[in-house]
Amino acid sequence: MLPLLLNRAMALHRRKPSERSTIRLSRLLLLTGRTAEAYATISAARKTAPQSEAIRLHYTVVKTEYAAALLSKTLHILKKDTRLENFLRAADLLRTIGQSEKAIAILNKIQAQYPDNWRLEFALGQVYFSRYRDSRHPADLTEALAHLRLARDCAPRNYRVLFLTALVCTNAGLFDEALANTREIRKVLPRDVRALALETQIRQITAATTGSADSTDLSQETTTSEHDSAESAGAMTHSRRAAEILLDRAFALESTACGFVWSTDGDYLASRFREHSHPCFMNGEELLWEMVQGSVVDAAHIGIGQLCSCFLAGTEWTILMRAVDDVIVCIFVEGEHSASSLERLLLKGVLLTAN
Amino acid sequence: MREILKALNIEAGTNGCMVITPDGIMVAAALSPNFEEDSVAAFAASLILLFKRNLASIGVRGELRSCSITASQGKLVFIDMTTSYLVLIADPKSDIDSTAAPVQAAITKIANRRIS
Repeated sequence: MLPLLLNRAMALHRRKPSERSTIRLSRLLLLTGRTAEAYATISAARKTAPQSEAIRLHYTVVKTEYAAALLSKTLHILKKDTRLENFLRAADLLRTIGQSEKAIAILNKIQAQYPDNWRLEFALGQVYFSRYRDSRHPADLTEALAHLRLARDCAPRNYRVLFLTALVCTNAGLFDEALANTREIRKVLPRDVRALALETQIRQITAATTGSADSTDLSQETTTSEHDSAESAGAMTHSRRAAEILLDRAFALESTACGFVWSTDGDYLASRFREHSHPCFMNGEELLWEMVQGSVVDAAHIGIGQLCSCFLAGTEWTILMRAVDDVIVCIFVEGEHSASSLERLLLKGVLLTAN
Repeated sequence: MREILKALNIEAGTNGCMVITPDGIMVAAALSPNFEEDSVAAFAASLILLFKRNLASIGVRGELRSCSITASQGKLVFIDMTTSYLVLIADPKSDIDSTAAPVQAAITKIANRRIS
């Protein structure tokens, strides 16, 4: 009976997609155990109808089910493969399904093995902050901040660390520290929408509480930021030089729309965007890094070793993610290209280490 | 379908290949014994889903047609066949991709088999 209902729901949704048909289809996909498809269906609907409360509620249900399905696979893998990636993945999935206690327990268990690891500290910060949002218990906010500060010390240029630290600081009323973090983000992504939105929010809160014009303070911050940028430019590391060289090479091709470079630990190093390119990659750093990480982790899980490159071919575009020396580069190129031609473009001429 | 996949392994020189559904269920496989069929299917599907979801979030238009992951000990190629994916596992230095003639021939055979 269920397969029949599912086929009908699929046909109806294909013919005339609506809020009702989407929810019905994703429910039936869930019932038949096709959680990944249920999640894909409801995620797509959430993007096209972000104002729909029914879809938002159903999205939460499906996301939890999907995370639970992935969690059971990840816990199974953890029995054989106890690498950090698997613990982080399990903790993230536990957080998604609302089991913060278990997520914290898993992360605490391995903390001694991985001292000063930004990913572990970031994951703990995420879980405590998530628990704070549910419970509003100030101790959770304090814990989240402590872990995020450690993560920031280890990865001072990582977008995700800086943004979450800024967000937690804002919640804790530490506006100066929050702004210091958003400034760091805007040194490399001057028009980052999320950082700018958070700054506006902080400005509104401080204006409401002090009643004073804060534009002077912000202009001072800009001056400090410029000064810091000059200093950091002077202290550009080898990895950042390598990142710039890779981006120069990538942008020698006119159809390259964007490029991001990270260290192998996930520290953001550099990015470049072609003006007026579509889509807008200004806020895509986190999502692209997640794709790189997914490729790294899954290549190891499947049993083909350490990732060298990942090449995606779309109907109107090509993406290449490539490990080069101690950095990982991701470029988005419009049109069809072969993996070998893009690799030649990035790796041509002198070795990066010689620069 | 397993015969088509076995023939593909011989013609394309791959170490294994399989057909999976978008939610990671294995339809047919001809993999070497060093790979776990269910595990490859589950990870391949979750990776494709991650790529699709994140690219849609960024606003990338158009469909993901194929993906090729090269790692130190092997190469993995996913090819979208509309309602399912063809997954190939090869040596890291193999130049196999979605445009290879044996791969295209296998995709056609699988599609014809589905229709009949």
